Amino acid sequence: MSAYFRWTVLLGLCALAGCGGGGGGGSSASGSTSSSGSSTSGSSTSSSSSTSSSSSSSSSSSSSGSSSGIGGSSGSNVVSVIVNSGPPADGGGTFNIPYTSVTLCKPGTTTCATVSNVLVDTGSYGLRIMASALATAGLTQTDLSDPNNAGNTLAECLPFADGYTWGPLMSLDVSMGGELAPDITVNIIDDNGSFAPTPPAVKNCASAGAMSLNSVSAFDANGVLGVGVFDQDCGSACADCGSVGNPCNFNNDIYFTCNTSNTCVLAPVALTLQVRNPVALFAVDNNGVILTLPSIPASGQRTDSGTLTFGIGTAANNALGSATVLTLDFSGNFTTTYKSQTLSGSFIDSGSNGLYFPDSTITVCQNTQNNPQASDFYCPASPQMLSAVNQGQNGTMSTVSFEIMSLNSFNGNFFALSTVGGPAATNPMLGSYFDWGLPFFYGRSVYAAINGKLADGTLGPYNAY
Amino acid sequence: MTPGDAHSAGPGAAELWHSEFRLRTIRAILSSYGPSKIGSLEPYVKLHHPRPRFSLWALGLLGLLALQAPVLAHLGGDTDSVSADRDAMHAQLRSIPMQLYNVHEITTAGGGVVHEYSTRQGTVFAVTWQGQLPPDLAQLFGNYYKSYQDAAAAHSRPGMHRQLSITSTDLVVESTGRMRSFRGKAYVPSLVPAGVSIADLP
Repeated sequence: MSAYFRWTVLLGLCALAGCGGGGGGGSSASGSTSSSGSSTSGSSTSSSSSTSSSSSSSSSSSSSGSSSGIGGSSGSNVVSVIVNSGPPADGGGTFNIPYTSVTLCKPGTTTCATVSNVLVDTGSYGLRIMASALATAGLTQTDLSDPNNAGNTLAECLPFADGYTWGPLMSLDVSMGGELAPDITVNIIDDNGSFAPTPPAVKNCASAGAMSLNSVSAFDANGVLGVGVFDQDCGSACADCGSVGNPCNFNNDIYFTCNTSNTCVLAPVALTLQVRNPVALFAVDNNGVILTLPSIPASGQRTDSGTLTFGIGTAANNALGSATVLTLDFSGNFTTTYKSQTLSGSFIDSGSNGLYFPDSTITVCQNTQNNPQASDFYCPASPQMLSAVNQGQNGTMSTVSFEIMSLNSFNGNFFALSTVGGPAATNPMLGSYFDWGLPFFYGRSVYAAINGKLADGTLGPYNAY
Repeated sequence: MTPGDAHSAGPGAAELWHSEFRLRTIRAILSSYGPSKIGSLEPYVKLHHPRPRFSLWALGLLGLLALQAPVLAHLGGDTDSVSADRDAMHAQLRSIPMQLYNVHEITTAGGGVVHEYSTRQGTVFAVTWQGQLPPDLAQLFGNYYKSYQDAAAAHSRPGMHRQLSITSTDLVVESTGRMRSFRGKAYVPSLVPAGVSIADLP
């Protein structure tokens, strides 16, 4: 039976059975994919997840991963990350999603709550939390005021390749481990309809991306922690629009101002008020992150526990060491050469659950009635040992070896898979890409340095590994 | 940065705004697809008008009207609508006749690019896009947008929101990207002229 089918079925079964949280696991060390010089591994994870929570913190929103301490000790720049079945709320589990916990407090207060099962995403920028998870954690939603329009609040329509999210902005103190990003803008994804405005803004929002992704199940997560190479999710385009000759529209803006009648229109939002990568706002370890996952067998593993380390070259545990540095273009991309194809829009992304790249010679899985999305993955008759060359804007080249196994060969109870992949669109008109998703991270420490910040001697944006 | 489009103003401001609204609406849809500086075949059309004052309430009303904006160039549409876009979009576009089809290129000030490909008879059979944000796909897909939505709903899945691939008999879509970097292509197989390879479109 197809592994993917198993996971799909799990969606249903787990709702009844509970699907006991993916605990156990640990780290088996046998390397399966070849890795090139990974150095640093932030080690000092500790257990105490005690966060001051005056209101009832995380109850049902947490705890699928019966894992040890998610959340580092005070003063630590390291938090735990686990790849497992994710939130029990959606009853299922998708493979290769790394989770951590985030503590949110009303700015300047000790009214706090911890939301677990938040996706650690090096391919996006800024923190997004499902409104339902916020409510379950016991924190009251307060929409962020629009300083340009008295009485209005701000919201965001965020496009994805396959859909969009919609919801208000909220100001929160965000802490992870011993790090604090005070009073920053967080996007609350309105998955429970608590944010009233829908028409016509959401209809317009939908134009950008086909369908709503406003649900825990759409992400298999209670939120998305975007710790990629940019500070804001939009940037200057969304701050500069709204002037004569440059009206805010769907090509330059994703922010809305909403009045008390729940009418929302596109509007500019200053850089400082946009949804921001929390790391950029930390006091010290603010120039990037390192996501480290232990290697796993080629056939996969039930779970995998790793770390997210804050800062690059700011402490003893986060030096660049001998890692290969690939500087990135203004979109966060570099060039991968694979089987004579030059893929100029390539990127490293913990938010993608496979290695996605174009190769017409590898058999694609057959869609079936039970698994209509199997063709998103490769199903080679035998494991494929492959390699590609990554090249940064700085000219640095790095050969990466990797393996692709058939989706059908995996144990359906395994959530950590280092050898899963699928086809990517080739688009000679616009450039093609290699999406180095989570399988790339197993057995590596992957660095993401933020745009414009000096990180251990090199200016971001860059990836290193 | 200006203080937004939402000044407070008395009711009725919207009335003054209506006459220009359609142009603005159209621009709002594709607007930053500004002129391509290189090889432009058409003069740059700049719209001059005083900045109106209107309330959020009025804007909301106008937003509803926007949904009824005239059909523009889109998959399955004709090329007259492409020209109409040119005037409406506060921009110019570059049209390049090829041997078997025409290419219409619309470029945004921010670097986003939309290509529309039309047959010799004038029917748009393919579109592509690239930019920091995706364009209004409802606009670009026209009557095919509904099938796009339906197919997207069937293909979207947790774990991967960076690409969407749809292949049906009446529509093929490849959409990829993440924040600050989106791209994609869509075409209607039955409308592709004989002898034209989608993979070879410039």
